Amino acid sequence: MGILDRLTTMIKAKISSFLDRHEDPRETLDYSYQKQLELLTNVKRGIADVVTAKKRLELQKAKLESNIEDLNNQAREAVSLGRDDLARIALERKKDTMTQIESLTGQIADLENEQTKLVNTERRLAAKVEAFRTKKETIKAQYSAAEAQVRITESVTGISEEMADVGMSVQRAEEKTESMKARSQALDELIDAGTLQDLTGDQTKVEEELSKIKSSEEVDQELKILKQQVTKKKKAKTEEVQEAQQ
Amino acid sequence: MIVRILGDNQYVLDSKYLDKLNELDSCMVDHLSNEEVGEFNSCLREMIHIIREKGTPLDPAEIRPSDLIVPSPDITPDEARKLFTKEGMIPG
Repeated sequence: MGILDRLTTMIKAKISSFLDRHEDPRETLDYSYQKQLELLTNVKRGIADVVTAKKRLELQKAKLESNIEDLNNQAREAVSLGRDDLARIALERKKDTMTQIESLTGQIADLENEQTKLVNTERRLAAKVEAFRTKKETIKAQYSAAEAQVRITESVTGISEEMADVGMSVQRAEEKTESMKARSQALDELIDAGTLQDLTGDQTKVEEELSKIKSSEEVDQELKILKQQVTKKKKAKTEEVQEAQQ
Repeated sequence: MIVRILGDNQYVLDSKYLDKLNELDSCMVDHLSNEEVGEFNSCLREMIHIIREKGTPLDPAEIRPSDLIVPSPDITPDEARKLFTKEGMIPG
């Protein structure tokens, strides 16, 4: 069995189980219409979810872009302090961040695409639902029970196929949005931790390291002065003792 | 005949293209079992292309069941494989 056969049969089977649910075909019409309205709301919610997820990724991308600037400054500062090792870490993080930005750009484009598709889906479904509503009233008003049965089956089958299709589109969009949400949450933690972690496994922030150097330089300087003072005093004392002995 | 491309639209297509569509369908199935993603995608792309090129979109206000349902143009081989398992790919 091919993919087309399999897909067509599966959708038709689902529709016929839906049609068998009601004894009175008129009930099927109303029930189907109610389901269509629910689905339309679902599509709208799906679009809103995609837009929210996209905005979130755009925000993260902006944050990462500003991190690049910080990392550049840190690298420059490290070099001026003669700490090439720290400069290297900062530059590695910058490279990491740039990879993340690139991946985010792709994901944003993906969601944009998903949004366009869902908006088109919504438009198409809305047109069908409106057509169905008109048809439903006509069938109810103008046809005898036997004739109505045929027309109901035909239009409900047609619209149910549309609904199965739309349902799948919404589900796929949801799955995509969910997986991106999970990834973007993980990324948030990294962004919150300051700049991204480097690949060498050293998790201390470059910034902290730089300030440590600065303070240790100050300590060194003070120590040096202290040593000089002590040496001076010692010298003075020795000279005093020597003078007294003479 | 009426052909639906999932996630896209319904098209009115001359039945003379049915053989070609079936041929491309077998092509997809073959490459699916051999895990050849590139070939799978190219068969799918050609199928979608024929329907869009040779068919005309059904008026959105018309409610009619399709004779044939074709997967979404961006279906992945994994999703296609699900069609052949019990769980299927239709929610609900």
